[in-house]
Amino acid sequence: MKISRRDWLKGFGAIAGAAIGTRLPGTSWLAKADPAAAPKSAVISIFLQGGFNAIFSAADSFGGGFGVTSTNVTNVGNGLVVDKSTIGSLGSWALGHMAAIGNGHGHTDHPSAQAANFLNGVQSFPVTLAAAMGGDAAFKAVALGSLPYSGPSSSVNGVSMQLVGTMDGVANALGLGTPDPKAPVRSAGGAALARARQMSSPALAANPTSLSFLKDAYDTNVASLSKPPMQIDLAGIASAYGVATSGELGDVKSKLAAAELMLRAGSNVISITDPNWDTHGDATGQTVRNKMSSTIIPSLKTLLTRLQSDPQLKAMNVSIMLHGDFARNLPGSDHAPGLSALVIGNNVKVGTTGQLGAGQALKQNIGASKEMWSYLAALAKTSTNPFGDNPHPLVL
Amino acid sequence: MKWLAILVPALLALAACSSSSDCVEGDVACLLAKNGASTKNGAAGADGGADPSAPACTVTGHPHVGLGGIDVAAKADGAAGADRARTKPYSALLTEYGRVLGANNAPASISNDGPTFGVPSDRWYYEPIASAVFVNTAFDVAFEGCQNMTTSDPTFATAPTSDTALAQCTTWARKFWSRDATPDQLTACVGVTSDIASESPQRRWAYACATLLTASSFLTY
Repeated sequence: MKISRRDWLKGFGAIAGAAIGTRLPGTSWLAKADPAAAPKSAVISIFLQGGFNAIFSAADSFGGGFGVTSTNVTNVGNGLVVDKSTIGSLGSWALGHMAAIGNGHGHTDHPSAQAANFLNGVQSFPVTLAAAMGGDAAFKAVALGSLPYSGPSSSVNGVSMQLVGTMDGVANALGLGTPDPKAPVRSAGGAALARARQMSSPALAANPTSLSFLKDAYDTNVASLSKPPMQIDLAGIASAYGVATSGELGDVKSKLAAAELMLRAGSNVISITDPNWDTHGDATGQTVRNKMSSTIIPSLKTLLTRLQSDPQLKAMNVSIMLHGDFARNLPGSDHAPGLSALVIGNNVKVGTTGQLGAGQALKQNIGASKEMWSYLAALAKTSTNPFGDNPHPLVL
Repeated sequence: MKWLAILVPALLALAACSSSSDCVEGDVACLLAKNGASTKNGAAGADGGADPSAPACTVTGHPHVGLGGIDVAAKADGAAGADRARTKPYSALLTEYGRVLGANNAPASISNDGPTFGVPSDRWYYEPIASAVFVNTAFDVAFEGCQNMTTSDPTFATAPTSDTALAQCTTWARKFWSRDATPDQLTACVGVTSDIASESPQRRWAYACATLLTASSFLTY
């Protein structure tokens, strides 16, 4: 086969580095040129603060409880059964790439359970994973709208969890849009913030905990502003989700729109928290079904559709995890001692390690949060799994 | 009931040092009475400088179980006077730039930046998180105000030299931070004016001004 000069140049471009290609809208020609190059991986954690009813991940666990019947569930395969009207409506690709992952953290109070999902003592699982995933993005780990856990900032190898409260705030930090001639020049701003960091070094040293976020902020900004502005169609993304390009990230659709923005900006781990899922008294499960249907499913469908249709996103390896403090137990939808998280992604093999048994405790003892994040690291194909071997055999 | 969640742990924390060393931190008269020695009344502020003779808790290890069964007692003593700095909330920043730059130079953009800096719901408190977006936005806001000042004052029509930059940085640091800058901090400030040599004099001065206003000495208490 005759190889054109254009094909040779594309091949050399792929060797030069795929990172630039992930920032360009449109077709990721670098991935096409070298199909052996590993796709850019990313993980999105959608944390339902208050609890994650296992009708969404292990609907066959309740023997009629939570209003589960033989007709309102979808048997996805390999033991995985999910609520039909919500998770079951996510489309064939998602249903062919989802798994329930058991997390036996054992906490039944909210603060401990919420912390357990994200922290191992002071080590942050999402930050550790983002650091292990590497890459050259300045915002490797982001939390959209609110931080998923309280406490000081923890960084791993220079990677920290960065709070993003508005779309326009992060768009400005990434240099999107037409530069304002009155505003600081990007590179000059970076140099100035490096000097601000220099001025602040005594205070940062004397306040390592209370100013931990500020220290990480200087480091992230100096790194970000040293990079050229990105070319991402913010208005197009916002339009796809039906949200504004500015303003607070106050609901799931705006957060998922921002998640797509950050995917295109090269982020490795993106954390989203949605409040008010502590559904005591929801014995029929109707409250959580309604809430899932109205607040999560529509914009999640938008993201899943775009992950499969947009060439730049389709070239990525994105894993999405839905989880919460813990599952809900019967009969009163109170706090169960385990969690059955739901993961959807390119490398997810259909199945479950998250079935619940008596008292809505996990049937399988397959670990807790560290093992859950180990699974996500395995999906992301990190060169070294920072959480040890993955015990969940549900990776393609 | 929500105020109990704040009040009870706070009361428990205050009690943590009360069993055998029952001087409230900072109560110099109590310490003198107990120790019979003079004590400096050194305040450790946002820029460090912990006073080793300040009273410190001598009783540790007692649990103080609060709401939810969570032990709220500190697990380890940190250095005395350390970790006292806190980021200024949005409600303070709204007026801080005008206070130091002059009302006429106050940046208008900050009034739209509440969601970026963090605004609590009514009757709630929100501990500011100085994220990268927070700091980047703070720099842009500061630059706007500083540029308002440098374009309206003919003093700044002349490009900075190392001597004039040093003098102006010294003045600004004193004004913005309510204290004198250290020589290293002044060196950093002067460095800004030479880092960005390609811009107009007014903008070079504005970068230096904005840098001082994005340092911890202004952004934190």
